Amino acid sequence: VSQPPPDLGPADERGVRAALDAYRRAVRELPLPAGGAAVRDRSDRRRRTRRLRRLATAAAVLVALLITVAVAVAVDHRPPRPAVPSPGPSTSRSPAPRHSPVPGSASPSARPSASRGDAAAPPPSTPPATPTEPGPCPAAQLTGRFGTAASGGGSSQRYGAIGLTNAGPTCVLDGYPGLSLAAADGSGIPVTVNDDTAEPHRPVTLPAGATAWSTLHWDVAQQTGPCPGSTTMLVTPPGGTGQVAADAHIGLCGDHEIGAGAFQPDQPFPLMSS
Amino acid sequence: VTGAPDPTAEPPVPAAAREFDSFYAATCGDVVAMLYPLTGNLADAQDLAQEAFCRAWQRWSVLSGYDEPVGWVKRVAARLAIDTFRRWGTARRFLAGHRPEVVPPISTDHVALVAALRRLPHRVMHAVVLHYLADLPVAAVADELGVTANATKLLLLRGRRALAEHLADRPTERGGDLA
Repeated sequence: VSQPPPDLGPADERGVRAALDAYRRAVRELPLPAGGAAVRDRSDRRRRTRRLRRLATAAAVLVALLITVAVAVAVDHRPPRPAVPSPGPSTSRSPAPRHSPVPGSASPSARPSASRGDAAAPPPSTPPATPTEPGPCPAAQLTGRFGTAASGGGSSQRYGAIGLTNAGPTCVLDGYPGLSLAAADGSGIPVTVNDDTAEPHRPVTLPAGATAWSTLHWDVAQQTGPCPGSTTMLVTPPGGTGQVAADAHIGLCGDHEIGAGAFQPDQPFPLMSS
Repeated sequence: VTGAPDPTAEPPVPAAAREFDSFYAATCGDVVAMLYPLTGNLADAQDLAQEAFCRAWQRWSVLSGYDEPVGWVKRVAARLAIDTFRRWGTARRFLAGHRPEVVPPISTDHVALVAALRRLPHRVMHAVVLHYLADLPVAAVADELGVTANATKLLLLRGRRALAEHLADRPTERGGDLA
């Protein structure tokens, strides 16, 4: 066999192949570190291990899922805390005026009814059976309290607040009150209620005994016509049905506008009278 | 955890096991020969070869239908070695310097040949191993290395030239082994 020339030719390729083949033969003749049965055993063991590991992973995922569900259910069953409103950006939504019509009945025992003209009234709702989602407060489980703020000097601007206290199970007030006024003889006093949408409203969750407040504002200078003076304010809770009566002796008569804020958990100011 | 075990590979029937055992006995040495230059350590090459045969057994019902099941094993083994080489190359080179030197029970000429292979640039060495020791055609080598066939041919040419120089320096090797 001749010495390979410096340039690579077919002879060199043959020489390289021959050297590599000789090397392969030499390694092939070495004793194997393990038999085929050992390799198969190892392979089968690993497959079993892998299957077990996959099973364990599936079980762990399942357990984690169950824990997540259990925690979610437990959190849902916790008594909800009253919502604390935080100041948010004011909306550009313009107030939607609502009219409370004068009741047609002049019977002294008849009560004026408040209705919302701007939206379809939601269907009558009762507190849901499950405590997980408190529903809107029905009027039947609320008591009303009205008061005015101290009016300053000769201003014609008047401020008042209507508070609704929950006497039943936890429920939610979300939005603006429906309002109407009744005179001592039971006849209705026409008022137009404007939602005060300067601040976004949030649902107020009322546990038993808690009170939510809506700030009212009106201007006595607008007053025209005869003025019997109201004795009773009838409040329709948002999303609920029925009315809550509160004593409200305010000199408000004629076709009046009242601005009403959304219900919030804090009393806006000390109340003078009811 | 690599891919799911092939459900067709089970249950192993004794005939398949016998078939696999004889296949392993006939081809394992060649797989080790292919892996030795890639790992630079005979024990590592034997470990990797067993690993590749483990995987082969898990798909044996499919592989036994192949004309050359050893081609599949060699490809898998080469990928294992090259991936390991890429991932742990630095660490392995470092550890290799601290591992007790085990003289492989083959002739010094063969050890020198492996050393010459390992002195080649990695791409060249991978190409030479895949083509001349794993018996992959040039197109398959190009596929494994992710380069074109022409680039593979160039790598092989460089490898052959370097090995020819190595053999020219050791004339006894060819005379002894080809006799």
